[in-house]
Amino acid sequence: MEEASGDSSILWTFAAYMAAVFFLAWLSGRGEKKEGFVSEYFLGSRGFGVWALALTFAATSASGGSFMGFPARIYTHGWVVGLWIAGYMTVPLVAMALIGKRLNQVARRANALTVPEVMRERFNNKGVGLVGTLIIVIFLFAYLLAQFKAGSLIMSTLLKDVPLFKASVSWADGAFSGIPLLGQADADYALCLLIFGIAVIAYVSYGGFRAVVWTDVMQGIVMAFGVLLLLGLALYQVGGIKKATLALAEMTPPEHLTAVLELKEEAAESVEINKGTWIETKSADGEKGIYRMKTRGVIEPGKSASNEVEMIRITTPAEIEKLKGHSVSELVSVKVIETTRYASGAGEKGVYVRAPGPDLKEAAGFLAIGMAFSLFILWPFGGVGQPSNQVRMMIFDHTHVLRRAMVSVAFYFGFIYIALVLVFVCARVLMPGMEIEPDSVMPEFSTFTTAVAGVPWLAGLVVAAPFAAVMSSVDSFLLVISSSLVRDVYQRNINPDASDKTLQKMSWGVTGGVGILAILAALNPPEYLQDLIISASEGLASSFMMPMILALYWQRMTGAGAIAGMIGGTGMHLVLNVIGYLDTGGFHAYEPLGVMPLFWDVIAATILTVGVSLMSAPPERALVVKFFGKRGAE
Amino acid sequence: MSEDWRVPVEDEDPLLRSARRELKVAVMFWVVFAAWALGLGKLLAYQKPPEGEMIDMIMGMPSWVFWVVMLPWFMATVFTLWFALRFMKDHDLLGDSGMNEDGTPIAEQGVKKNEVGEIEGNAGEGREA
Repeated sequence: MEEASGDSSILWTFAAYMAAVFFLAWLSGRGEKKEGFVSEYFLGSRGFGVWALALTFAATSASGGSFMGFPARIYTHGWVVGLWIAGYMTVPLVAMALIGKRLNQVARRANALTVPEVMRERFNNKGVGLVGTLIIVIFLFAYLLAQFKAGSLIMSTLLKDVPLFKASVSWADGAFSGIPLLGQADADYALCLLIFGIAVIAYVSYGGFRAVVWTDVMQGIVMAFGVLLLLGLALYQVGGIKKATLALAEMTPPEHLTAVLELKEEAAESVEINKGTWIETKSADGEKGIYRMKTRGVIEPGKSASNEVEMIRITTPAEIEKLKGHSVSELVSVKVIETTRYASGAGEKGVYVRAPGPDLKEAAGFLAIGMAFSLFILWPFGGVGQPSNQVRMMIFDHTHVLRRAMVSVAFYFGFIYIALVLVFVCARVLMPGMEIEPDSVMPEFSTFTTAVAGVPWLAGLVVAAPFAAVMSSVDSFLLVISSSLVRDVYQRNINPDASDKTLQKMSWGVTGGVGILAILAALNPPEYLQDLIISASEGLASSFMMPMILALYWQRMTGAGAIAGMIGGTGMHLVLNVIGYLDTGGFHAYEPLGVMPLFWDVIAATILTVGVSLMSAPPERALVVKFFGKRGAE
Repeated sequence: MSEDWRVPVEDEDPLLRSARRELKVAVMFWVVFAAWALGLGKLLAYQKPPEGEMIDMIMGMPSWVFWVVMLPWFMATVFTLWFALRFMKDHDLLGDSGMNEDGTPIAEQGVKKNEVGEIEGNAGEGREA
């Protein structure tokens, strides 16, 4: 297999992309300001057009998960991931039409700039705003950490073979050692985290919402272009999607092993076998075994066996044939200590082309029908409940902008997600053995296909796609958190008479401060980070979806009902996670009837919002008239 | 209990009434496409073909992917197109923040749009009043 190029042109392509991001942010910061600082900084004065709305919505929705975790799933489980993502067909219409124009109207009548402020003004209740802010800050901060981590991993994968980067990592290794937190992280990861984090904090702090939206637009275009390029390369190199499907139909999942590597004689000097190395062995009867290292193995001088290592063994005959001769060594033999076969699909041909798809841990397979139903709820309705999406429903000043943006997003999502399924079905055939680290299949496949095509410099542009996805989510989350703190906590509760200059300083300080805290936390992220992201995403949706929908459409709803609904959704979410933890000992929420927690969270939030609203005193008439009556009726 | 707080339906804002109508259609749209993808998916995607039989394909992908993912996705996009360009109604929003379209306060020039801010006629062309 060809290796990624060490050509520095990757670095320059990538640097050009970053320069374009900064240029756009600078232009945004210089643009005409229609309203006061806070309105401009946190909502861009609400006057965005179709493409800005469509691409900022799409780019914010597509996070690191869409370009890292999603490709990993397609690679690991096959065509069934098409059904896993199918709920996205309903996202543009449901997530934008359900609340879009009504939320925009209520926000304008309330003169609100943030989601908690909409809720606070709708009920004239400080508590509603503060509870909303608290939930946003907690859940979004977890999200932010994960996206910082994803951005740094993509950057380090992309640049790992570039000489200038290697030299910088050597320098950082020495410079960071001894510095608390920084010194404990891998030097390449820490260096990328610092570059990525500081870049994002700088342009968000400087340009505010307008910079976020316009960089989102560029990032949305980069994402589409990167996927298009990758689709062309993948289909060409595999020889068409039909060939890929036929090859997949013959595949069987690999085995995961714990093993020890052995030499025939004692090692004269230390022998290191790195992660990713292919090993080919021959059994007594001449049968070939092809293995790939998941972890690093070392055979010390004077010894003939390595430490215990994790590895995979390829089981598909066609792949074994293809990989012969690419292995590093036949000098070592593999002594297997423990073999873990897939709980579903082991040794079965055809599992990659039908549901439920192979799975290492779940005996029911990757996607049981109950889980498919859960995801059909999660994608569109979870999208309705995300504050970063909700705030985007407040930035246009004509409904025709919303209508046309909805159409654009429908085509955009259709293209991006279907193309990614096709690309990574091909990747499974072209680049075996990525089960050792599925999350890096996107950057690895980008460098692989462009190297095979003889245009390694294009990898910079292709990998800019997931990088753009991460960046466009990070900037939005960062601004949602800082707007909640500055507007909803400081300006509305502590210093209502704050001048524009004070608010400007506060906004820059809070945006920078939250960003730096996220960088520090991401230096040593918690173990179950990926699970934490999914959980945080569901938690936000459960807290905000039904209270927001009911606040917009139901006159009888009260502030007490809103607080009960938000806390109830969050509470149910935490309870299911705690039960799951006690049951499995891991970060895995309890799923009654096999349906994801979001479904039960939303039911709890709905019952509590409606129940408590009906039990509390009816809302003031003036408030109901203000938000439900014809314009000017108040 | 007194209902004095309530705004009667006929006095509700026109944008609210049209948004409520669109919400109902959006939920029905979701139900139909969820039933299509998941119902047909259960029937086609989870079946193991008889031993030795070639995989059934359409356009180079397993046939179930075509019927359960690609076709409904295409139809959902067509429906979204119709919903956004033909069904959804346009409304002026600037008036809700007390501004005319040119950014001047309504009090200075009066409301330029019709009284309730609704743009009459077909929403599909996205035109202004």
